Formats: sequence, C-alpha cells, structure tokens
Amino acid sequence: MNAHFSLELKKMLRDKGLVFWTLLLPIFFIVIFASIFGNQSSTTSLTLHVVVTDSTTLTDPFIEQLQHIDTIDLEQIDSTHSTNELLESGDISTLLEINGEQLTLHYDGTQEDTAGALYGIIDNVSQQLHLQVSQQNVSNAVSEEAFTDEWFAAPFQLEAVTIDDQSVDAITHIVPGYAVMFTFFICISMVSSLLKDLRQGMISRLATSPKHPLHYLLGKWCAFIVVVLLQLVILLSFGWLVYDVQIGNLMAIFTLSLFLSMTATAIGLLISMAVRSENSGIATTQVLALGGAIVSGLWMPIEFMPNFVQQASVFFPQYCSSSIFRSHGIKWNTCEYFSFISDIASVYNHLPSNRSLSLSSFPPGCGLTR
Amino acid sequence: MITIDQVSKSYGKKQVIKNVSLSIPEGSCFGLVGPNGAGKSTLLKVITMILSADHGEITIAGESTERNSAKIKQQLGYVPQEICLEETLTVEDNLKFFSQVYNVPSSIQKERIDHVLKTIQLEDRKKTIVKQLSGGMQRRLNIGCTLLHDPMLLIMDEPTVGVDPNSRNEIYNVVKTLIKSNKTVIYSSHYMEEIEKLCDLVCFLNHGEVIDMDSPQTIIQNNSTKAVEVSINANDLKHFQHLGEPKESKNGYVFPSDDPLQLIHQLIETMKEHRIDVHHLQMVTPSLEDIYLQKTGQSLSEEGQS
Repeated sequence: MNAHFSLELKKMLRDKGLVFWTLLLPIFFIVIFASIFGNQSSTTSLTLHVVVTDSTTLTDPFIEQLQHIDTIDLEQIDSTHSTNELLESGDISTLLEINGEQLTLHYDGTQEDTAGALYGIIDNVSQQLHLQVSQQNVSNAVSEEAFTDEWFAAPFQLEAVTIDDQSVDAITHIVPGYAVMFTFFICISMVSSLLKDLRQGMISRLATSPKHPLHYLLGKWCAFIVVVLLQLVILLSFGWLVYDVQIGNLMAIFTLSLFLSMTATAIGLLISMAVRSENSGIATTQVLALGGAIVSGLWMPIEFMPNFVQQASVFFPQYCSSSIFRSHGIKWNTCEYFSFISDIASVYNHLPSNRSLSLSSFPPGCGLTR
Repeated sequence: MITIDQVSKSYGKKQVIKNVSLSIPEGSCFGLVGPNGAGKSTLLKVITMILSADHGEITIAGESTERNSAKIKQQLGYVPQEICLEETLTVEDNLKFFSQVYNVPSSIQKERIDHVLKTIQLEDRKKTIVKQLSGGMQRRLNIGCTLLHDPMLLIMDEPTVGVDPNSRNEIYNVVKTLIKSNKTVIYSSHYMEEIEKLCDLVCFLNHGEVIDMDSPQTIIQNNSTKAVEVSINANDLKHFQHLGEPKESKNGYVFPSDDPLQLIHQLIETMKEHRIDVHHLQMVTPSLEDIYLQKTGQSLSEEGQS
C-alpha cells in the first residue's frame, strides 16, 4: 500500500493540471467573487421620496422624524412634478405625498416588499407623532407632568442585542463555499488516473504481482485524501491570510476537512469504477460538483431555493460541510467537539439511512439545524 | 514446468480459447504466434491469472494457478503489451515502485535495481524521466520492471511492438540474456523473425485453437519440400493448370504438392511440350512465415503492421 501511496503522491505533485483544478481555479473564483461581493455592506437603506403639496404645522416635525431613521434615505422633491410621471418614468420607486393631513404612499408595483417596509415605518412615525402631540395637549390640560408621563408610557420596551461580535459578510460564505465545491473536482483526477492505469496495462500488471488488489485501491485513495486535505488547508489559509476569515476551532476544522476529503475521494472512486471514459467521468463530476454546490447553497443562498430543495440539501456533503465551515459554532469546547466527532462518525457508519437523524443532533449553533 | 490442460475461455457467448492443451518445459523460450483475435493475449492473461479460465487447469511448477496463486505470483513476471510505466517519474522511481510491488526486501533493493539496469542496458539513465527515453528504452524498462524479483517464469506479450529495428535488436539481446539465465519465457509476437531467433518452441494459435506446436526446426522440417518454385511468365500459366493452383512468388510461381519430385518431373515435361525455357526451378523450403500463411491463410507481417 505504501508503494502505491508514495507513487501516487509523487505523480500528483508533478501534475500541473491537478494544481490548476485544486488550487488555482478555486483561488481565482474566490478572488473574483470576493472582489464583486466583498465590499457590500450587510445593512441596506430604503430610499423614500417625499413631495409636500400642502403643509400643516405637523408637516415639518413629521419629516424631521423620518430623517432621523437610519434605514431611510429621505429625498424631498419639487412639488410641481406629477407623482405619476415620476413613478412611471422609473426614476423613483416610492413616493410619499403629504397633502395637509393626508399621507399617500405611491409605489412601483414591482417594489411591493420595499413599499411594505416603508408603509410600516411611516405609519409608526405618524403614530409616534400623534402620541407626542396628544401627550403635549394632555400635559397642558392637567398640568401634572408626572401623571401624563405614566399614562403615555409604552407597555413594552424593545431592545436589540447581538449575541456574536463576529462580522458575517460575503467573504465568510465565499471562501468555505468554494473550498468545499472544489474538493469534488478531485474526482476528475481520480477518474483520469484510474482509467490511465487500466488503459496502460498497469492494473493487469499489478494483478500478476503478489500484492492484494486492495493495496492498490487503498494506496491510491489515501494519496488523494491527502491531496484534498492539503487543498482545503491551503484554501482556508488563503481565506484567513488574505480576507481575514475567522477559522475558529482548528481541531474541528481539521476533522471536518478530513471527513470531507474522504467523502469527495470515495465519490471519486465510485465514479472511476462506474464510467467507461474520461469524458463521461468529467461530465459526471461536473454534474455532481456544480449541481451539489447549487443545491447546497454554495452559489446562491439556500433560502432562495424551493422548499423541497432546502429539505433535500441536508443529504448533500457540500451542504453539511460548508454549513459547519461557515458556522460560528466552530468555536466549540472539547465536549461539543467530541459530540461533533461522534455525530460525524455516525453519519459514516450509517449512511444513508441514519444520515438525517445524525445531522439533526449537531451541537447548537453549528449551522446544521434548520 | 507449465502445463495447460484443456483450457477454455469465453467472453459472453464468444469462445476465445477452445480446449487449449500445452506443455512448456522449464528453461525454454516458448513462442506464441497468431493473428489479431487469435486468443494470444487472452491465453497469456489466463496463465498470469489476470483472467480465470472457464474450464481446464493450469499448473506452474507443479502448483495449480487456482489453488496456489500467491505462491506462483512470486515467481511470475508479466510484461504487458502496453508500456505501463509512470512517465513523469524517473527510471529509478519506477524500478523502486515495482520492487516494492514485487516484495523485494529493502536490504537488497538497490542491488537488484542496479542489476536490472545493467541487464536492460540503462545504467546511465537511472535519473532520467521516463518520458524523455526513446520508445526502445521505455520497452526495455518495461521488461526490467518485471525482473526485479528475479522471477523464474517471464511472460511477454508483444514486447517489441511499435519499436524500430535497432531498438528491437537491443530488446532481443535482453531477452537472450534472460533465456541464458535459465528462465522460462513465454513470448508472444507478430514478428516471426523474433520467434525464429529466440524461441525453442513455437505454437500457432488461430481462432482460439492450437493449429501447430513444435520447435521451429521441426515445424519447418515437417512442412518442407512440399512446393516447387518455377520461373515462368503469366501468359504461360494456362499450360500448367493441371498441376494445381500456383501462388505468385519473387522468382515466378510456387506449385504446392505432396510429392515434389513427381511435380518437378511434370513441370519439366510440360515446359518441354510447350517449348518454354527453364531459367529457375527449385524445391522450396518454406520459412515459418510461409508455413503460418499456409496454415492460417493470413500473412503475419501484415498483421504486425496493422
């Protein structure tokens, strides 16, 4: 087995094609997609255009309160423009018309979600202003400010608290996502290597040697596992060095990388034995790697997928691996780590029957619970 | 040493080897000849245990290949038709790999590699990348990889296919050295010249059946003086129709006959009768190639080129 293992490793280290598929192409993808999506902020703002056709004493305070809301970019426009013209021209998508005490929100039908959010905010600001005016009027009438404060006190206090200080941005998804996706491209090299051995008579020759055929298979498999493991280490290190991606628990990352390497290369062996030509091996790998990546949310958020795809995605190794890689739960303690190990071992022992059960028992926060 | 007893092998419904029985003495060089599809490679694969026979039994040094395959494999070296080397690695790397595959103890590995390099005349190419070697050198290395464990039985499936005449001669020298060292060699080839030069025994295989097997000298002896070559013009052929169907040859036409002396007499009589001058008349001693052609109806040299 050692002979096959060391031979295969030597061969792969000299294979420029393998370096391209396993390192250069994924790094290229990471750099391209990181430069496209990497600068996007996680907070978004809504633009609201306001036109005042008739003002009252409350118009200015109302506009002032709207301006204080962070998520709204308020733009006042000339009242002489026809509201319909502005919307139909496509220059604006939402317009709040203030006509005395009448507020009208005009919006582009394709922007229903944005309009809904703006409607809620405007209504809230309007109600708040109403309460302030009412409180002022009551306060003036009863001249007991303490009572009025109590009467107008809100029944609930709402506070937003973040439970994690790490920033989550596109890079956090891109680096592990592409690292996982490109591990499956090893299948192409495996198909190529095994079919070449068959074509060149190497397998026939080895069959006449005293070694058991399993030595050949295991030696080859282990060499590919090591290559994929190295690939993951290099890609994740690249993400850490260049984009400051949080790595978290190294033991957990290493264990997951090892199991992912075993999964990808086991699938590679399966394809190698099933296909008759290198072309069909490449085609099968592409379907598996790219299809699995799409279904597992490596190309676009899984939430955009139909419900049945979301449910099916947990059966894909790409989904499971990338979820854990991206998870903040990587910062597990020792107990959680061993729970993770036992769960992942359970997946391998009981594939495919108990896979879903096993995944559902991952430690909380690991990103696998749906 | 090797006994093949009533061995048959089929691929699906097609029977490729039909009840083949052979006996190959120890230390001999056994040539296996046949056209494409004759079953040569399949027979070699059955002997080397790559394929299992449907019927029959093969024994090597008294051990059955079915029952004692591990023991036999330790004494077996198989050179496939393809050059199965790792071309991106060096000559030495390849030899090291195969020495591990054939369980050569690490204590004598270097010694064995050096010995093999000397045998295949590639001592000065130890550190060369395989793909930088010529085709002939790669073929020699292909043979060398099976010599590392010093096997007693060498099975070579067309080891000179696709190499130039000079390189072929170098390979002959390697094989001759192996034969001299008392190894049993089974040698399959398209080139009858190789078989005549190297082999003690020749077996003609056609459609999965043995059509003749003996030493080259005996085969030639058994098939000699059974034809007469005469130099005549094509226009005069009509006068010789009663003597059988002639085949065109370099010097004229060859008339096959079971009684060549009687045929010579008839030829001379016919030529006298039609006043044809005799420039050339001789009893033909066929080569192995001719005998092969005669027995199979196919030219081996054409097969070799295909």
